[in-house]
Amino acid sequence: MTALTRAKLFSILAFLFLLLVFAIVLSLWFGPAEVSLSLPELKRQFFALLSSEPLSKNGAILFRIRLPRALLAGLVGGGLAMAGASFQALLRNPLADPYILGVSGGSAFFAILGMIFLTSLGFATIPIFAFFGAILAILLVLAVARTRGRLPVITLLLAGVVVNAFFSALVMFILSVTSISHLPSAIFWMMGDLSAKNYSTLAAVSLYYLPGIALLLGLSRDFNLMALGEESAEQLGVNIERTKLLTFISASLITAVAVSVSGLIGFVGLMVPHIIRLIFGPDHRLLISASFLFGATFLVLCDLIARTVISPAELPVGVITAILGGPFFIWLLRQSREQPAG
Amino acid sequence: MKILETENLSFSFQPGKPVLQKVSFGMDDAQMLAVIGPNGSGKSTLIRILSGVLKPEAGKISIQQKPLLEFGKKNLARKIAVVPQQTQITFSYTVLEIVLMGRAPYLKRFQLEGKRDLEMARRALELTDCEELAGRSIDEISGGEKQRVILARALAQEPEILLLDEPTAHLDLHHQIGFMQLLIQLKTESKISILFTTHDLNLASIFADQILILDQGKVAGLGNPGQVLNPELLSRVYQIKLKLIPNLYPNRPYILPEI
Repeated sequence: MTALTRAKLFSILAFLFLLLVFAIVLSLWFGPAEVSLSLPELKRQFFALLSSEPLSKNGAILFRIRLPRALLAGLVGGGLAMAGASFQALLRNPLADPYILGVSGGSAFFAILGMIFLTSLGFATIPIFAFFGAILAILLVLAVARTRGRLPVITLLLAGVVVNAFFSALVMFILSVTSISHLPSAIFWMMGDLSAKNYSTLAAVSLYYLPGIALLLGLSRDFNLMALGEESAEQLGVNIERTKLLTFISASLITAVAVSVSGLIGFVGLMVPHIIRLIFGPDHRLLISASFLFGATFLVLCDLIARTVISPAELPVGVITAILGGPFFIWLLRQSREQPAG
Repeated sequence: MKILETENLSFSFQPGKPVLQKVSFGMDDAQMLAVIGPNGSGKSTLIRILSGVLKPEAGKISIQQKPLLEFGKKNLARKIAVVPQQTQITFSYTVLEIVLMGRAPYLKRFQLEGKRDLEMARRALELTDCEELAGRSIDEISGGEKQRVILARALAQEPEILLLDEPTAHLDLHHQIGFMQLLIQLKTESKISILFTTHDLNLASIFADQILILDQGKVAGLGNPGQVLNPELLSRVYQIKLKLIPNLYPNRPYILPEI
């Protein structure tokens, strides 16, 4: 067992990146429609896309439908996994996840409010609304869960589930009483949907992500020290209050943006960091970035399954993540109960 | 020059309920100071203040004559290392990873540990007799081993002052004595000044150079074990009848309750 070195860090990240590229290629390949393009034709269509020229039917399926969808799945999965790993470090609890904490639910409700009241401003402003919802939800969860200055795991999880259910109900209420046609469907809000997005949406998502990702990467070592306890971290030189605040903001921002474009997709932030920890260890300087790459791969593949398994019909991607995530969560809960309570 | 000095240190969590009142004491280089006193006498609070986690309400703390508040967090972490009573570690880090965390005060934000950091970690593991544990997961090892690993992490900080909050409270006799002997070794060989709190008066009597007795946040006694441990004072502070009997070791009395 050696310590984390630059070589080890970068080779693991490179490996995970290749895995992601492979997943994206797979998801271009498969789909309800048979697409067969020769390599030169593929290249021609790709350059046509870059120069905004019209594409052939096959080219359009590949580059206007499947590629943006795979990239979106990657961004959403990566963001949720990174946010999950950060919430876990912040709350010192491996069961934390944006969905389980109610952050996703809060984001969804405020995103839908934004969509109703700010229709003219387009997608770009929705994440800001969702961000407020995320912050509100997490404050609510922490206020409910805190008992005598501590955050017991059980009350935290219960508070998260309740807050999530509450906001989900509000979303459904709004969908039931309004008849605005441009709102995403109930399925989107309950189970996630990655379809029908264009490249400008992807660019907006990336831009919103950027500050959050940069901050979380910068805080990675502090997350390691926080695993020793907040006071120990402080005694090792961490500005603990600032670190906690920035982590809250960054992880909430990333969650909010992801929810704005994909609805509610659960368990990615729970499963992915845990798998990374099992394989590569818990060092956050690797975990935070590796979670993004592997979370991206994970959701690209889940989405591939979702749109091919009952082809030509599609499943919401959240169905796949929840089918995998539910049992995983229970397994994790049982594991953490075998250890002394934290 | 005192390595650590406090002057009229006062602190309270709630107004009107002082936890520490006008606490003044000093520590010399390579000295071992035991802080004793009943529950709630302010021992742990004192450690939290000395390590910069809590700000004193009044009074001064200085390290080598420089006020504590003038140290940045990282610089302070290079001077003072803390071993808490118990450490709950959230994820399954290896022992080496935990010890390397002690190098954080020396690293820039995106810097990974280098050769020197690894060397310091190895040396800390050696000193605490934890070398064989390096690759083990922290939640697989025993309580006594874990406390040594946390000490190794503190030593990796290359501190001049070590603060320990009831370091032996959860250890059996074998590990208690082993741990204290390790501290003595650190004091004499690495010239580290050590402050530890304890409820075990005899442990303090046997191992400490100086003893500070806190009673309801006030200094009730300060001096070497032979001077400061007297039955009247201790009986008053602990509100039970205590007897002192001469020890095998000169000037280190043995304390027994009267039954």
